[in-house]
Amino acid sequence: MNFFGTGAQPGILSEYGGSLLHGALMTVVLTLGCLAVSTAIAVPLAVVRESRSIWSRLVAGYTWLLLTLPQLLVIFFMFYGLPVIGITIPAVLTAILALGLTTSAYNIEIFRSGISAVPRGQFESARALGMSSWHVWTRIVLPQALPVIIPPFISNATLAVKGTALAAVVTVPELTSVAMGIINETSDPIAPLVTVAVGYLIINSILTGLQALAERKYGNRSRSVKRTTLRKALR
Amino acid sequence: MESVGKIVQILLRGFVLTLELAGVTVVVAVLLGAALAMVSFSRFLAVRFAAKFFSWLIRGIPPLVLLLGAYYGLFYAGLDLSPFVSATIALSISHAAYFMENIRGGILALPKGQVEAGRALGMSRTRIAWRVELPELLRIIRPTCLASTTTLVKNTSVASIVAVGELMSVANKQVAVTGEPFLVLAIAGLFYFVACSVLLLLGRGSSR
Repeated sequence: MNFFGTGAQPGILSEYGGSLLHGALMTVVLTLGCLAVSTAIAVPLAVVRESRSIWSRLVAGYTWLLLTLPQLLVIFFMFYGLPVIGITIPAVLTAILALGLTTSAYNIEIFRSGISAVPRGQFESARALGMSSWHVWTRIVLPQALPVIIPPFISNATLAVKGTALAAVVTVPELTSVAMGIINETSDPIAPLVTVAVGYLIINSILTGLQALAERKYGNRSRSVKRTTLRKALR
Repeated sequence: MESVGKIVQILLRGFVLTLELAGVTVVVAVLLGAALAMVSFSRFLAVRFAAKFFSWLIRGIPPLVLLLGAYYGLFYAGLDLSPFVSATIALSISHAAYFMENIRGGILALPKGQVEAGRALGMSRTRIAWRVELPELLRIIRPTCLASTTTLVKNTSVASIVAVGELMSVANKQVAVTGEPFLVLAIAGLFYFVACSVLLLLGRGSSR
């Protein structure tokens, strides 16, 4: 058990606390960036996917491709590929774009399920009542779609948090990369890895807490509806 | 510049190792996940709690961190394992948690009526378990388990960090050798695309 008590462990937070905190911040930045990019991509693509245009098939292909490619491959593809076509951006941005791309595939499916939770007839009747498309979306569609979207969106966000660890591979100084640095310096793998794992668990627990809150806020209504219709059916 | 044929050949060898890594991992992870799923219905609170805690803990930690833990941790603990074995251990533990949740969900979704019907027909408990519940459970968990297996195949790429020599590691080396990132990574991507598409299509087919 000598690897637990090398004396490096009590010192890890005092000695590397600063860089670990920076790493945690970078992980949060990567996560938020990834969610922002993926949402920006997924919202229009989900609308297209739900439409009856020929572009819908193309979006389906995009989703399928990104669901079958490893995140790490997409990261490398952009990290090595972008400079070749003359685009040089910081590694952080490359990582955010790559993570955002892969995450967008999941988010398209999530947003789609939200949109399809709103019966098609409601779009048409709202239009027939003379509502502008802005009003149709903000008053009719989103209030019904958001409760369907938010829980899986947040649980997908916890996957995104874990994906950010891969950015360590392309020199982004996030949590895992900081841990790898400490391992190299102290040759004590356990203390930094445990510390970093706790960091991820804290970030993910915050997200899970948000999910529970969202489900309490939005979930009850639809759940009570389900229960009553179920009871009626049983009678 | 090397010829495309040669790159394909080299990557194909890596792909075979990816399939081996994924194959071994999926067997270990499913067995571990099934055991954990059963244990999670234990009549002892502490056992139930331990299984659920494992699931929460492992699902909250990136596979890369688990891999580094297995790779460095086991080495410092005095076990000199090959990168392939440490990658198998880390990925198995990481994915066992997901298979556990899939199987647990399947067990919870088993319709009670079928068991009652079996009992009404005079079937014994073991016979019901084997002939009624197990086939139904397999039918329920097939799509989710195949989806998890797809993620597993994709996550084997993380093993390239400890130079296992699977597809992603080989591809990285070829990118450095040839200086053709688009070509090499596109070919590597094609291998992942085919493998994962087969798994996803199998999952879709069974859910219909």
